Amino acid sequence: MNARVWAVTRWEFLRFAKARDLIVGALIFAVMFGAGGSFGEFVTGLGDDARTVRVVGGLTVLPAEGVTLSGVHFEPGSATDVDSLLAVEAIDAALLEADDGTWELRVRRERRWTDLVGARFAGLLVQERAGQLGLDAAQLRSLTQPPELRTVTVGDAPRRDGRTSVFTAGIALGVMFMALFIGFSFVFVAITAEKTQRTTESMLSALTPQEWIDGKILGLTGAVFVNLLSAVAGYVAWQAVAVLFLDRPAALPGGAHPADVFGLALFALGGFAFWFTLFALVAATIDDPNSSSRSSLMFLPFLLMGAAFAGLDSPDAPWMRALSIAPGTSPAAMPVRLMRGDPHFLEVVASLVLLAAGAWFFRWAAGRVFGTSMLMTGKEPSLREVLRWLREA
Amino acid sequence: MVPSDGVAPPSSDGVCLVEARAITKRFRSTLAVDAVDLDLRRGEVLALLGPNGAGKTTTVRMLVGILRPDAGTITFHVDGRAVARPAAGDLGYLPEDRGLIRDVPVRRTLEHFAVLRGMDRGRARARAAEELERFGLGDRGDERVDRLSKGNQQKVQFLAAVLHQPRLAVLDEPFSGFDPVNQQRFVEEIRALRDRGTTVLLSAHQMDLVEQLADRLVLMDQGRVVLRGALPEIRRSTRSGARLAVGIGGAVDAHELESVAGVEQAEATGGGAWSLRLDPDVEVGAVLHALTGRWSVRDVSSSAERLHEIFLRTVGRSGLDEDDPREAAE
Repeated sequence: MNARVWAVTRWEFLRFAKARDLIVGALIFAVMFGAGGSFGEFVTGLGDDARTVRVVGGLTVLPAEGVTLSGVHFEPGSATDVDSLLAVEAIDAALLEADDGTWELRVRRERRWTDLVGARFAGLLVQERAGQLGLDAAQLRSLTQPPELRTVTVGDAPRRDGRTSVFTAGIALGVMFMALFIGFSFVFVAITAEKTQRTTESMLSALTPQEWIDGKILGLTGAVFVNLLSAVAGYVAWQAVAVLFLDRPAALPGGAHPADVFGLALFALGGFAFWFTLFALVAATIDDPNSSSRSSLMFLPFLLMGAAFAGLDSPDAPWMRALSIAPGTSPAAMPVRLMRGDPHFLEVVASLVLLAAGAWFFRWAAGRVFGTSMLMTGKEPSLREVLRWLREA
Repeated sequence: MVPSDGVAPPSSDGVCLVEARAITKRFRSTLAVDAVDLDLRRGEVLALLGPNGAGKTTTVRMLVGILRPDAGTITFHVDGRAVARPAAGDLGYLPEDRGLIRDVPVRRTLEHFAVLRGMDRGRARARAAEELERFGLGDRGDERVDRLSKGNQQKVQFLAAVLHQPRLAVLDEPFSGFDPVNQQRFVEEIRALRDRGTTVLLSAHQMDLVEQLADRLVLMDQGRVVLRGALPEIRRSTRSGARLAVGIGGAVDAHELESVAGVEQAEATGGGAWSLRLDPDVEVGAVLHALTGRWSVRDVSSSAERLHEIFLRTVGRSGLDEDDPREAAE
């Protein structure tokens, strides 16, 4: 690494990581997270307020003041004004018992929370029937409560933490995808656009194509990192607003072991290096981004890495083990296994070595290909030509 | 080392800075540059001329290290050492196509280029400010490059090539995008650059400007050097005769004028005026005497043959328009 590489690194970093853009980006992300959360609530109809359901019928377990069960408040009442109360949204639903003992759930329109109401009401009915059978609360509990099962591991302390780790692993994958998208656009501007605009010729009389590519990849990786930080800042800002002003619970990732976080960072870095160098290699061969079919190659990593999402619930399945070793998919699959599965130490090492070797190869190849193809205009080199250049390099 | 071909111009100490021997470059079946020898002497302006597709840009790219010759050698003589590639700081390059990143402010662009050429960032910043001021762009340093006019972008491109004060400046079409006033200004700038000790390799299509500026010329055609030397030497070697501009009263045609001993070619320039190219071995006075003996000559002036005319005569082509077709690198 020499001064010229650092000069290019600095240049590219400052070009793509502008303070004003980062601040604006963080604000946009905050708004997007907020809008996304509100949209989700709008679609599902599940907000923080409990749904109020009037129960009309002979349910003796229901006290006069009603009872709230996980987001649904059941209150006893008469049938006379049910429809008018529904119309003015004074209640969200009504449960009416028919003469034959069946129940009707009456709502203004069907929403996702109506299933939730049904599930909670089923619980109430079980209590009611248990009472009719003469069972007390303790007997009912012993009937319905699942057996207590403790898991004891004899190896390392268990790291998986149910839904929290799924959430964290999902966030990690999402961040990786976002980084790839940002990196993809940066590489396209920094390499293909410059090649198209013929801006590289004067630079390459001052430094070698390899120095140029190395500096670009380092600078762009740094810029991607700070852009990710801007997204994280946006999320934190949204969470702060939600907790402080909207009285909502914080939704923050958790359940990850520090070693997992370290592993995630390592694989993220390796993944950026691998995919950005491959992007650089492809970008170096593109003559005109408007007409080149090669641009679509840039989407390959998204397809490959997307497979890791399917492994969130089966992190140690054979196919996930294969994905976590292969350099193209390991940056996504191995962090999932680290957080949700139990990869062998040697698998992790092999995965990292292959990732580093792949990144090194693409870095070298991008330098060689760029050095030859940057003066080509009017045509793109064929795969055969590219392979020949690499053989002759 | 002292090159063997011709006499060193007054601005040069005659010591060779760049020595290219039999450099050859082929792109698929096209021989773009065919065993070209080229010497660049310290402190001179050497003009590399030729029609489109003559191999100038390929030669320039080999000299600045962007392309590797298939055969032949390029040697730089720097501080008594012979090296294959000069240090980044010893070279400045203005490419034929504008080579600036467009979405970045002018000042930062200049700093970046100078730092890549080995200059300290603080010094680069100071030099950029000085030179922008001198070129009338002092208040535009914080604007993006693409906000400048074509001419101003070319000024920035020129500054990016020479801000670090290189030993060798390679300027490929430096006058492109300039109006006549700025073209003339750049002739002075390039002269000043040479006078400060920078050797200049210039490739341009504006023959009148080249004629003012170049200490020596190399004319290429179809990948080969077809002429080289200082302009007077070239005139001699091409048997370049004088030009006689005459105004003749009465009717006369070109054939009649060309029948006069010593007149090789006659061209009507309008209003009874003619431009006559003379045989280099004949005295102007003898031709004039013959003309006045047959026609009424109203006015007359003579001049040496222009570079533009030598160029046309040598390469036998009329197209002097912009831009070589870009050679594909493979």
